[in-house]
Amino acid sequence: MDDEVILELYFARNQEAIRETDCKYGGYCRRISQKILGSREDAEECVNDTWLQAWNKIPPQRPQYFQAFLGCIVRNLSLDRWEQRQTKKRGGGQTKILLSELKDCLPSPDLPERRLEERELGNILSRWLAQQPQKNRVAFVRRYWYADTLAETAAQIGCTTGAAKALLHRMRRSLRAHLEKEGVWQ
Amino acid sequence: MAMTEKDLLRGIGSLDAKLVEEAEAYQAPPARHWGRWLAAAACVAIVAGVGWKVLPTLTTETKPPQTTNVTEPETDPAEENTGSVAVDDGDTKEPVGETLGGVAIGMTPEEVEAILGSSYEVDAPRQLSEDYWDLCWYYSGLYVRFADQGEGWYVRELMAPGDSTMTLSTGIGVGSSREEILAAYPDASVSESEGIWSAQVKYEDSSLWIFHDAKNGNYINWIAHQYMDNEKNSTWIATSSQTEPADPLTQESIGGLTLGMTEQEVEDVLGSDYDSSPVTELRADIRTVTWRYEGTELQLADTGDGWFLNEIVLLESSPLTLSTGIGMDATEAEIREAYPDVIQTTQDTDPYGEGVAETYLSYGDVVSGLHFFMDGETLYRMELGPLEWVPDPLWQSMVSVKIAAHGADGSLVILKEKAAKTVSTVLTVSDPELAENPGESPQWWLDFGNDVFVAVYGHDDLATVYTGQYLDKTLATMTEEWTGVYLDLDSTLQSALENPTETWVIG
Repeated sequence: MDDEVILELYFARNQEAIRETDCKYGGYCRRISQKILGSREDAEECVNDTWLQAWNKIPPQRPQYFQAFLGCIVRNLSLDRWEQRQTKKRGGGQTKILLSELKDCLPSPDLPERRLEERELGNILSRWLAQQPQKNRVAFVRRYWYADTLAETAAQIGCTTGAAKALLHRMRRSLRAHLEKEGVWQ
Repeated sequence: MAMTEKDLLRGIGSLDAKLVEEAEAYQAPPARHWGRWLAAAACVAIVAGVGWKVLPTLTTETKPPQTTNVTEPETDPAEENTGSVAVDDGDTKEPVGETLGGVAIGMTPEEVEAILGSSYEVDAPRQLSEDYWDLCWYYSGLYVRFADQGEGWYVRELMAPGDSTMTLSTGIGVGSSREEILAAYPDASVSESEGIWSAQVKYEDSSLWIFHDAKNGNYINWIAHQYMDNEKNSTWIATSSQTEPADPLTQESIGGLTLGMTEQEVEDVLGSDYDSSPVTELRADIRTVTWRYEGTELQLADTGDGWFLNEIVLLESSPLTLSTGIGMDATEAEIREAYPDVIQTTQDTDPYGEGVAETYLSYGDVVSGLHFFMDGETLYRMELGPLEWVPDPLWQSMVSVKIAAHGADGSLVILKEKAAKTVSTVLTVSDPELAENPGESPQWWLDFGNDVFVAVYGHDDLATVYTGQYLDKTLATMTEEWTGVYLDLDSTLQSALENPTETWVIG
């Protein structure tokens, strides 16, 4: 079913909207969640929560990119759940590795910094990514947005795991320089 | 409050939706044909095919050179180059009577000159380790490689290139037909892959290869085993082709699944209750897809003739077991009992982070095989299949099993087999780009022994590799034609370079 039709169902408050959303984007959302959490059961709960949030947000929102809109919700919910689990036991999935990688992008301890809102940071990141070659862009988003493994990221962009690892390493360094240039840590 | 990596991960969640959808829809552009399986199948032929070039680096251990007492040649080399040599087999196990161009493995330079004359080009002798020297004579139609391990020079390898008129003692030459070859050597092992047909004749202490290569022409290669793998008294060619230990990729099964199964066969075993990932076009002629069952992930690949099972991954909740009964509830002791040959490997899966070193037990090759990932005593992941995609084509000129590495200070170390394999794996990069001449001193030089040298630049975990031919066989001079690629100089390779003998042991 076309996204516009599904959105019309939301606006009509027709619960078929959720069934159609699950039918079309259930696999996509489960995949994102499962990679972050490493647990199918937890992922399933996050996906169900995603449908609920989508139901509550639409209307009034009418997302232009419905798939990414859902992906963003399930990603945030999954990260929330991952953090909750961290307090209880060791978490699964890719998240711990992703966090360790992203340390590369953080400033030196002696630099003053300011804390950004997620959306503001997202805008800065988007502008930086837009300047990157498409292949690099895709690699970064696959790895840090979709939480793909290195092997999956490499497969997605058509290179070896080692090459993908090296590419991402260079991108993290570039991002760190960009964040400093943008004054994020000045 | 300081921004943390968690904040950054959250911020990435607010990326422009167009970027997110772009990444979801992206398909890698077609590239050269992929060949994990094909490369493996062609490995023997490729390695043997370049064996002539890479063999100079093959040994790290001293072993008394084979002493062969050769009598006067029976034939006049001026008349023909097929004469046989009477060999005293008291000290040698070379095949009595086998020769190539009248020359036999084990001969001295004087004996070779007596047969072929003194009209040849010669490479300067090269010291490849403290007690190992290498030397090559290039006759028209026959290349003769000598070794000296302290007791004088002797022939250790012969090669007849495509334009050679030299023949074996049986009269077989590079122009002989397959039928003629098999008639002369009825016990030869024949294989054919990727346009390369080969017949291997195994003698007790040497291997003779006759190649019909559709792309590169025909050639004959005869190599003494002892220069291939001193420690195991077996050859790396033979090991690759015939004496391979039990290969879990082809012989292991998990829950009734074996690699290579078709889609239908997989569904017949596990049913059709699975989530399927989108199909990814990895190369122009390979697609992959992942089927996710409860606790089990199956990667299927299609190289043009249908989907087949390429990799099996068991997660903690998987109910499946190996043919040995090992399941996800197995302890390390049980795994070791079932697979006594497992090798424990610790790999820093993320050299940029901290504390994510991963320990696993490998059965089969370190890269491809059966792998048990342990968290303490708990088995949390099991994989059967290739650990990662290997790009194709291999840089044929770099295929080697042993590589000499020169430190920045000029010190020489010979990498052992596994380290060298790691290096060669790392170097099989795709899409190399021309790069500017580097201006800093390289961290390491890797000598592939075939006039290909690689300068590895970099620090810590990232390196840049530049390859080139030596101009005058000095470390300081290389051609202007650099091919630069970034590569991940991971901790495994770094460790191998720094501790070639302590960390890596053949076998």
